[in-house]
Amino acid sequence: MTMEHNVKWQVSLNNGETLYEGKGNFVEVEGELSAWNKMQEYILVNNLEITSLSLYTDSGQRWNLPSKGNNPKFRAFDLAQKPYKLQLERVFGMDYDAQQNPERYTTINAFYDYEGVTYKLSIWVDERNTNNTWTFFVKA
Amino acid sequence: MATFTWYLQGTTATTVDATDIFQFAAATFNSPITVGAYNDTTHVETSVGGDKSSGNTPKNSKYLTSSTVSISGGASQNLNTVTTANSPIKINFSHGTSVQTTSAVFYAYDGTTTSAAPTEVTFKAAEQGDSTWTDAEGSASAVSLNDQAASTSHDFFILASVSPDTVGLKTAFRFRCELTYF
Repeated sequence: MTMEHNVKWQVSLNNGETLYEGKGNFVEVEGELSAWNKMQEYILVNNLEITSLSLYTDSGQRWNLPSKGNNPKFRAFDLAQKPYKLQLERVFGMDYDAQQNPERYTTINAFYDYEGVTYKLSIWVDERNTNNTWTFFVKA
Repeated sequence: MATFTWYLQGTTATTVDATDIFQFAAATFNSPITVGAYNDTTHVETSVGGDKSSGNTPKNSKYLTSSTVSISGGASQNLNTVTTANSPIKINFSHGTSVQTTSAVFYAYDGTTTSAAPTEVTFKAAEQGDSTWTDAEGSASAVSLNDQAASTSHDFFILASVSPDTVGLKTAFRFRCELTYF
């Protein structure tokens, strides 16, 4: 059985590759590693690094984190501090009597180091209604 | 697809379905707990008031001190010696693919605002293996559950104990679990 999320990740790597959840080797197959963990294994084995991380839906919605890349089109991005780590997480929340309809979010996080303190920029997208999106910036 | 399933453990586990509730009571089902005392029994109550767990000898965890507990009426023991089998609440998180879990939490709130403590109830909770109880009242005071390595099934074992602050049925009181996985 193949399982997919409504909100999927896309990563670009420092070797120029772009990988997508649900495509190629990164499909979700029951009993196997999650697509994200497969991708993490792939970059570890090949000594690669994620340079950008986005979320997308099949209907065309898209959410981008600031990139770690070195060739942004706009000066503002060029001057901005680059995140040192990009990460995906999925979040579940539920009351015991809401088992049929738990709150589910797919989140992407960019981590920054500023004067020895780690900060996290997060984008949360509601899997049940992808028009609901939140962003926050916190000390990690 | 990911799913959560809640159980009240016993000789046989009772599944807590969406229309059921946990009932904390004195010696028997529906018996009220004295103000200031803690639960002697835990049950699963159906939406029509039935005792769903009656045939399953459900486990109970009763707060004694900050580091001790009575399991199902037994003698005082250190909280960190309780086994998974004797932990009343089991929450299973299943996912079709193998995922790691992090930052899982468990707490009680008033049923409306997750940051608000349950109303007129003192609530203690612990994850199996914890040395001390946590006043897990509201999201900011949640019990942190251990991170778990990649798997398609994750069990969290929890002890919970309740004491009414005033006389009367307490319904502004709800359990919640949150976790992150990837």
